Amino acid sequence: MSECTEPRWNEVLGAYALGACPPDERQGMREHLRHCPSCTAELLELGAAREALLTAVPRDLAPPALKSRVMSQVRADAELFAAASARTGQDREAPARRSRRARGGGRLGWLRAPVPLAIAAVACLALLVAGGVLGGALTGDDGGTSTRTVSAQVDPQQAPGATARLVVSDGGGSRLLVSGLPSPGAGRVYQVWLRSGDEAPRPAGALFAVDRSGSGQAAVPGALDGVDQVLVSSEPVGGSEQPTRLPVLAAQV
Amino acid sequence: MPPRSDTLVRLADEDLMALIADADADAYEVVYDRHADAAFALAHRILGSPAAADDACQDAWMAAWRSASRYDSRLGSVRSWLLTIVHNRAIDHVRRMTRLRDRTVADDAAAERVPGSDDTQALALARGEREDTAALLLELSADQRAVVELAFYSGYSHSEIAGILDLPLGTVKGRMRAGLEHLRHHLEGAGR
Repeated sequence: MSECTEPRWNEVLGAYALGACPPDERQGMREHLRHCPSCTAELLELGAAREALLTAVPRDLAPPALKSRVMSQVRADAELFAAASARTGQDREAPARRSRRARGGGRLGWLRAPVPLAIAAVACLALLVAGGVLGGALTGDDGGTSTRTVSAQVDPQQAPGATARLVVSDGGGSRLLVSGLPSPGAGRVYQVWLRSGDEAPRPAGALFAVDRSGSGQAAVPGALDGVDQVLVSSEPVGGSEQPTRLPVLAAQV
Repeated sequence: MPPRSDTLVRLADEDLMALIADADADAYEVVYDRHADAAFALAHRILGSPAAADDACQDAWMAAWRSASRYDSRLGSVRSWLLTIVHNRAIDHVRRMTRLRDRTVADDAAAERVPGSDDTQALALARGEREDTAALLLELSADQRAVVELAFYSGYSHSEIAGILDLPLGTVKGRMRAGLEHLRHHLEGAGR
């Protein structure tokens, strides 16, 4: 195997394996690894040591309450998907879903998949995704305040045929507009969430209901600086501190 | 026919992941039970507080549940995949806590109360070496162990570690690499 021709990257392999590179250097290393089989092989060898460090810690016991919270949320997710599958008459062994899983989607994957992946999965399966052009944005000027409209990705299992768009105002006070959304259920409302990076969603401070046609809107207070996604899920009246059900729609800010 | 839970507990992690990608909560509970203690121990080691470890683990377990379809057995075991998610979440928590602490200090105009470099070094190493350092790490020289622990369990970058330990950056990078190489050889010798 040919030697690495860029020693400055080879020197930083250990730091990279330990997660000790700053973000720009980490990105540079990823680029380097794409065309350097020598460094890639060395990194794989170091991977065994890195994996061992994951368990080279004092023994500890997870608190039972943690399992209760995690499994409660997991089961709520699973029940929601089972109900959605029953409504849409999906065959649990449908080849289409196996295909989606193979592509990295899965039943829960749409929530976290980047938009291009979501588009690919949706196109592959010919699923109906409401919301028109995913991630498409229009910009405008509204009395001196710059605005843009983002089409949201809607979960086709929970809300077939629904559409949603987010009007983002750089001055704050964005607005979410939905149509064709099903009722959130008895004793429930729709709640808006904000997500930054991989952090857990946090409440946006906005609850809303929909009329008989499924139309509704919510004012999202504050600026969306640093927010990557605006999500909506069905929650008990009064709202929740964290989502208890999977989001029905997601808008990439 | 045995109860479903009896069947699930006989499955390998990789087989359970295929079920979990289809939103099978029972399968996820089996995986949780197998790895929850190791995940919590790792988070506790990094964060130094059971409450913070609890938060990080909840985030990590929900993230793993919702991204189970992305697990690729060619890239490693389920355990390593899960623990890597926990590690990343815990390090994120550490860095957020550090930023918050730094901002609070600045806001209070109390920079004079920030420990000097010697104190910072002592605190960082104390956090890294609290409790019984696992036997594997004792395979490393003290110099290598310091940089590996500060990076992997405390979330410091190589340049931050160079500042903490007052070492040239190249020396820190070299010790990291040498430490991992040493661990790799030790693991190979131990047949792992």
